[in-house]
Amino acid sequence: MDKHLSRKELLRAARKEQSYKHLDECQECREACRLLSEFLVAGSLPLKNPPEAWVAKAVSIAGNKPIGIRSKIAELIFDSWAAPHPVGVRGSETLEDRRLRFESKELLFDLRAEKKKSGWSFVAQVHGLSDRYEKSRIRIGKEIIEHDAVGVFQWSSHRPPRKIQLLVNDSIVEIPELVWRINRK
Amino acid sequence: MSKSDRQIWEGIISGDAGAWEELIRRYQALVYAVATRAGLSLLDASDCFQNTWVALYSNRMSIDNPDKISSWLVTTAKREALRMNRRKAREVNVEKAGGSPDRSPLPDEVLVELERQAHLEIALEEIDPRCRKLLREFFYAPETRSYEEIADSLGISSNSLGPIRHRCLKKLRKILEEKGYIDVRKIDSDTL
Repeated sequence: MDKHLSRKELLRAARKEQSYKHLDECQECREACRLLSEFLVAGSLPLKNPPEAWVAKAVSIAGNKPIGIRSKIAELIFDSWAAPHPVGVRGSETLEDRRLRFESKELLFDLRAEKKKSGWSFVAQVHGLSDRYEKSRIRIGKEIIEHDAVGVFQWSSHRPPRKIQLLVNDSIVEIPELVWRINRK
Repeated sequence: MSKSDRQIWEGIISGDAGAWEELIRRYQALVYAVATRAGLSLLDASDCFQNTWVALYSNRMSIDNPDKISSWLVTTAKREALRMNRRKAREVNVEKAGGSPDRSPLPDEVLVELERQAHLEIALEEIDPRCRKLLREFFYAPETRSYEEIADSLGISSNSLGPIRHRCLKKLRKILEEKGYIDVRKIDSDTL
């Protein structure tokens, strides 16, 4: 019997690029070739596992636990409409611009709203994101807003949003419901 | 003896949460590979991954052939990824009229290869560490890698590599058969 086939020859045979007489007489090489042809992965990388949080969430499906994404609630820590007005500035002067800051355990969310002739325009930013959280998006109703290359979210609408959610990695950060009326007392 | 997909599935149907987790851990990398290679963002890939398992759990009473559960997962994950890509394309087209998204669906042959690769890796996980290391090299190393180089990397002589490899392949084949990942009759007719 000839010498056993080299790995390169086995791979060629497995890909049916070349036939070798040796395979007819050597069961060992034939079986190796057969398994190589069943699983032709030479040169590729093993499959990666997803983040453990994804798996844990999928496992929870059978345990009648909530399937939804983990949810956190941010806290309002600054609202320019609630801040005292500078001396000499009337309340109505500040109504066309509003700045808000929210904080959750891991991040800060800054939102600036400006009233325009035809509606509102918004600029927002999420701070404090580690690499793990570099993917963040804003959801307003059914609309998803992506940030630009420098991490700034910009959008406009006829009406200001009441509910905003931040989609950060595997979590939803709920922004407390926004009221767009100044409470005059 | 390693469990087949059918055996795990029977556990799921009888309400065994441990079996459900076992199935997810077995095929997590496969579903993840389909989701990520479909060109989805990480967030969408996460949704695709979850939705695939939710669909499986919701349809658990109507799965006809548990031996083909990996194919079912691949098909479902692919559909889910395509659905997300279509939704994304609509969003992009609304924002940029006339823009066409650069997203191509996963070809079926790629999905078949991913499924086969997952089967191989699942079987390799159950083999002893020495064989696992050797067979990973045997299957995954680039074509240009010779037996001598593989033997060197494993710290064994190239003369003993052949017999060890043969024994390890026999063990692997047994695991693959038990799991139903290879057609025993087809292999026997080829090897006898």
